[in-house]
Amino acid sequence: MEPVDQNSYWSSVILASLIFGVVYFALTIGTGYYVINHQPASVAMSPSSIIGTVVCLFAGFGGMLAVWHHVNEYEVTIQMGRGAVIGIITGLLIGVISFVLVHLWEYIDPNYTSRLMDVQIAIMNSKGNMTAEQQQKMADMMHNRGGMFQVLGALFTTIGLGILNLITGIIGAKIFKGDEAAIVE
Amino acid sequence: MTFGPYEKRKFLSGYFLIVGMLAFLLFAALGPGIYTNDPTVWYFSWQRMLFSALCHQNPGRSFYINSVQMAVCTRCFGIYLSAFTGSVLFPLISVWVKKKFKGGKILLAISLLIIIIDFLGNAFGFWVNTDISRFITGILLGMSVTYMMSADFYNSVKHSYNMEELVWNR
Repeated sequence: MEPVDQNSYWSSVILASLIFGVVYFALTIGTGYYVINHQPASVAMSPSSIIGTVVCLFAGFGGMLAVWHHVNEYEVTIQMGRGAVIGIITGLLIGVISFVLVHLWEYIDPNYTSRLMDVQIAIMNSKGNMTAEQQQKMADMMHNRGGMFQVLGALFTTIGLGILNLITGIIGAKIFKGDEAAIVE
Repeated sequence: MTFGPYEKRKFLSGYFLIVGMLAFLLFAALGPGIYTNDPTVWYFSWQRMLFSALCHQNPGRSFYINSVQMAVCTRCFGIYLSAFTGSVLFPLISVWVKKKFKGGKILLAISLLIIIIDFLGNAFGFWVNTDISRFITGILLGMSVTYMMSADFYNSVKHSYNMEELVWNR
């Protein structure tokens, strides 16, 4: 059998995290601009919801792609533990890449975040069940958030991506693991 | 394949790690509504941040606890709920009945197909899906994934332990 542990998974991890990091960033920005340019009341039943549904869980499949690539690259069978390792590293890298890209975008369009925030507040006000006082409090808190909030947000987002990609890495190992018998032959 | 004490420990710790992570994800998915009824907390909660890259968190497509939006949408909540429940139940059932569940990949494909049909039907205006329909399709997906994974659990247990001792004196 192919000595699985001697094959480096880094090319698969980097490839998958770059693809998912960039595509996720593009979808996020695209959805963001769509939401900014439409009335909040129409958002829930508009194409932005469709984009949102596609984005939903999308970034969680990076680990699966990395495992698939690794299995095909070396034509190896893969254990679920190794799939988990590949998945979690891929997820963490997707988080870092998308965080960096979103912050680079703020140099291109400095008003993007504040405009998106205004629309998000409007959506929450129209869909949620907050009182006028709570709506004002929420708006104030969102506009006065500091750099630490952004760092914490990125940290938790990256942790979430890591955990879910770990799980999809395991699932990927289950689905894509090579035919063990064929490899032994 | 040989399963010594090291492999047994490794297998069990891996299994409980996965169940623990799914429990954590389920707990986080409930959002801050489990300890507060102030909806303004939601945006700044660690639960929202944790899932911000994984779910669209649309307020119109989410359940609420104590008037506070959950951290994920209804479909994602269905996935996390059933993934945790299934990860506990299916392996136990498969060991209990001494039978490896088969056809997991087909079930997974069917559950994905149902979600795609539900999504496309809604997108093209054939019907309007609801919180409940999205929740149910999420449950089907989570269940099918854990059903599929339980086959590996069964195989590992079969290699690790005497199956006759594991059926708890049935």
